[in-house]
Amino acid sequence: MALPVNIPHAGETIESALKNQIVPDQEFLLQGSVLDTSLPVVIDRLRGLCDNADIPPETFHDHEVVYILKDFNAPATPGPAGQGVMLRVRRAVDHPELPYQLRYVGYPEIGNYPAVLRNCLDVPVSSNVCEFLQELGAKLDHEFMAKGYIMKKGRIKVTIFKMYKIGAGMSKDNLEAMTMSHLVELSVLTTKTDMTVAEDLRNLADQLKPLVQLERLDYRRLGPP
Amino acid sequence: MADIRLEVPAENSVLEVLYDGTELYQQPPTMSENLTQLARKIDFATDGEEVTTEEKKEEEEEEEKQPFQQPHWPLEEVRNKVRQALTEMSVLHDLLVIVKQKPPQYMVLDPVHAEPPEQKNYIQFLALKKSLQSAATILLNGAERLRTSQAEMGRPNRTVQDFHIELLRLRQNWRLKKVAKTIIGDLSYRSAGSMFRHTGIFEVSKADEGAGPSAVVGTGSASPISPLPSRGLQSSLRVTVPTELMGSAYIFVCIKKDEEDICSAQLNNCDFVAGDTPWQQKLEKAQNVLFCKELFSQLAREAVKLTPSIPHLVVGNQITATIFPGIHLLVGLCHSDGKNNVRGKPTTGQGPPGTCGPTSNMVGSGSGVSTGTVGGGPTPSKYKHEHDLEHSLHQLLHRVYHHSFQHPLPHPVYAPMGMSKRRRAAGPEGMDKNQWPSEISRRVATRDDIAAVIALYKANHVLREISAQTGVALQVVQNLVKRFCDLGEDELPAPLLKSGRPKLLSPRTLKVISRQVRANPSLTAREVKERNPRLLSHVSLSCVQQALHNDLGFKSFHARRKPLMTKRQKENRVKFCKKYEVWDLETWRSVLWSDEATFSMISLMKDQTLLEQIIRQVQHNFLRLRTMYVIDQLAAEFKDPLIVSHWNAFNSPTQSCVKINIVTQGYDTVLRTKLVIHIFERTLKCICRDGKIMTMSFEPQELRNLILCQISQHNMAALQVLAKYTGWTLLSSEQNIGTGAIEPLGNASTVMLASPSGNKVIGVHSGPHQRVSVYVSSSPRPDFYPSTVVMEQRWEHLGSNWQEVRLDRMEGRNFLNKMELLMAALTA
Repeated sequence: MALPVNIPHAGETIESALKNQIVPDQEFLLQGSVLDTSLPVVIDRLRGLCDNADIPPETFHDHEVVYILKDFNAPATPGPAGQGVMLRVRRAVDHPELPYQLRYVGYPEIGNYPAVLRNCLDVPVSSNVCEFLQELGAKLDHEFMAKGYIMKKGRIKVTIFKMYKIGAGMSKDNLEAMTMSHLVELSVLTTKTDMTVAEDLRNLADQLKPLVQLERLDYRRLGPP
Repeated sequence: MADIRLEVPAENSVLEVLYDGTELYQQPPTMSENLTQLARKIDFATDGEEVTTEEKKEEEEEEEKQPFQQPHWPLEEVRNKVRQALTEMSVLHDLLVIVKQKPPQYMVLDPVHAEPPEQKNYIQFLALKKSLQSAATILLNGAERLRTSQAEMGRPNRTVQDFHIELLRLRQNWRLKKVAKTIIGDLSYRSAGSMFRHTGIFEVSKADEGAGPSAVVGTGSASPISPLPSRGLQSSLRVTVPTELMGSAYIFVCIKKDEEDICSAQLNNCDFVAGDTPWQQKLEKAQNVLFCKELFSQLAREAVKLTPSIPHLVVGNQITATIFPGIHLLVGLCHSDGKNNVRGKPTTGQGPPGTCGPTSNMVGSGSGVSTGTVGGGPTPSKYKHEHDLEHSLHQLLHRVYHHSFQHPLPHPVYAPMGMSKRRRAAGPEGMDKNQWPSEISRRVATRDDIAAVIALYKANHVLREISAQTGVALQVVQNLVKRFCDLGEDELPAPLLKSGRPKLLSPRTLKVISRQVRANPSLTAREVKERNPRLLSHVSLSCVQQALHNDLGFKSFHARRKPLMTKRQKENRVKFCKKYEVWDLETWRSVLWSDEATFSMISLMKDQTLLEQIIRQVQHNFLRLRTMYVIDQLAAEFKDPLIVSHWNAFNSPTQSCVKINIVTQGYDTVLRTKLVIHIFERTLKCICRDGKIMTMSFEPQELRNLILCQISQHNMAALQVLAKYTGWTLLSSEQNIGTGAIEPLGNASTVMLASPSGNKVIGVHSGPHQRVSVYVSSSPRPDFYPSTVVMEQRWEHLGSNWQEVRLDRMEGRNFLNKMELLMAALTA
């Protein structure tokens, strides 16, 4: 007599994980900027605030390529639906053996949060992800290089980096800086239920108050891409 | 609180009761009547201010005096009052108009000066004096304080430091924050990675002012060149640490054997904390106490959680773990607070001293708390505290802290935090749980494997390459190679015997059965048993069934009953197949996983716990000391070949290495027998110069026997080399001779040497436990007489009887020296 055995398959476990909100797919983000001349001061302050203050902060050098996936033949409809899905592929230039990262970020949630809260999905992928996306129909929108420092405080990831445009020619050495400042980002991944970590984020941001103004940016005000 | 309700009675008052019982009620006032009544109450003459009770009474009296006139029409009263008010207003208006005429014609308003109040000079003077006095006292107090503080600053050897400067120095070393009016600090290791639940909060406050200045004054007035008090500068800062962290503590670690007497040994911690220690020392001591507490709690938790073969014992402030049979590791927390109370001394059993016997694993029955002992001098403790082990424990906990914070940072930046590099790459590269972490599953080496390994070894491949090529584990390869060498490199080593109950049915029987069943698959087990009575009569039916099912794999099945497929289902299946038919290898490679794949999110790499690590270190420590002792003892015992040992300067906490040279004094160029001994936690590995590898256990006797064997072999080998120098030829050399008395361990070896002229033969027999014996035989025999059996003279050239040489009566420093002299003597 065969007993009905319920074997869960991987899709079900993923769905149940998402439903029970175990998977951290929400991201709190605070952004600010600091001029290059004041960079050492900010770095020193952050070193004191973050973990592992005794070792010099780790640098990173990433190359990001952004694809847009939408129906290019349809007429452009106004509003967010017409802008398509933006997919970001990032690779570490200084660690070529590590997998690429594919990231999707959603629109910021409306509400009175201390930081920008948005849906965020990060997936490690193999190196042929660019061809895959192009096969799906996504078009390359823009790409840039980011070089800077990365630190962490508990669950909060702190990055200070400078964005570079890739100059003429395909060689990656020809970098031009886009601005004369560094971008400071504080981000933390959390689930839909755990909102307490935003307070820690806000406290850390307040510690940097006179040097860097970290705040919730309203992306709609920055203008259409 | 009670609710009070006011209700107007709904009844109206009775005006009249008629004769027939009906009642005439007073009608309630209509709206207009109500309004009239209310309006009558308004008095337009007053201007709304509160009227005092006296005036009110007057008004009421006046009203009473007036006869009550019934109004002609309801609002007459109101009209009258309004008219009165109007009159008054008009009069006032006229007056104002007249006054306001410019130029003033009829009336002018002039201010009237109020009378100045009476001047009471004397009272004013007194009031002024009082207020000035209070102001003056405040100013004088302030000036006094400033003067004293200036005097303090100017003094060259002031004994009380400034509070704020000290606070600044405190802040440079410790984390402080201000909460309301108090300053609290944090002395825990939380920011370094500790997960201990104790908060480690201390409070900073100003020291008492009373003691300070008076002391200052006292010493100041005595003499300006009086020596400073021995305590140095008094601090104006007082630090209050929590009571459970007061005093000082340390972790006591010792190794003890069972045979020692168990008596109440008490350790006095003579590191008392005096009352007015400077705050830095106090805070550091409190932090140390916290650290020791955390370390001990972690060890205790692990001791309870782990389940080794001999369980660990946790009693009070003491953990006892067995490292070798009969040897125990004792870890205790010694904490003495400032009141001369020593808490947590490891008392091991109370009662009269006496041997405990080998049955004891119950070594620490004493509880942790004991009554305070007033510290005289420190009493000598029975147990020696191992400082380096305590240091190792501290380092292990530091490593735990380090790991809790040291996660590799994500590269690229979007990667999830807190994962190792291998874990991050595991997803995209599609590793299964066998590849990550890279563990090779257990495999039994078959004969083919063995043959392959040996063949590769003969072709001089590196062992690691052999392991990679054949897929056999490295240790197995090493074992095989070793066994192959031990067998003299002649034949392949057989696979090791398997343990467990031997099978009832031999492989041949199984083959017979399988042939039958393959020919006729519908045979039942009973039929198989009936068909082969000779083979299967001694086994039961279930044994046959098991052999068929498990060993031969003949299992029976029947088809499952399923519902028929619908047309739609058939179409879907075809569509699915067609979809994946076109996928080539590259597209399949990009699939991460499919249905029912299992993978674990939690890292499978579990480090060993703190207690296991420290036990391993202690085991190695103990084994190393024991090895040292054995080697030193042997070196002291044997002077004939000298035993020289060189210990490696670089060791790890769980591995050390010693090189032993066995050399005869004066003959170092002749032969040097070398050994390398690697000391691990529970085993020793000895590698000899000729490539033999021997693994020994922790018993000291095994090492001793090994070295004794090596000594005897050294003597023999050196003798052979010496013979070459002296011109004697080697007739025979046998490393493992089968004749003679049985050696308790190892084998005796013999060497036979012939003199250059051939007329003398020396035979030497040596064993690890017996002494060396030397025999000489010469030819021709001096005592040959032809007899009836042996008649010819030439037989005298056969060697004579062996005569033993009394080595102890010979001259010569050592064995080789004596042999050299013997050979020299016999050559002539």
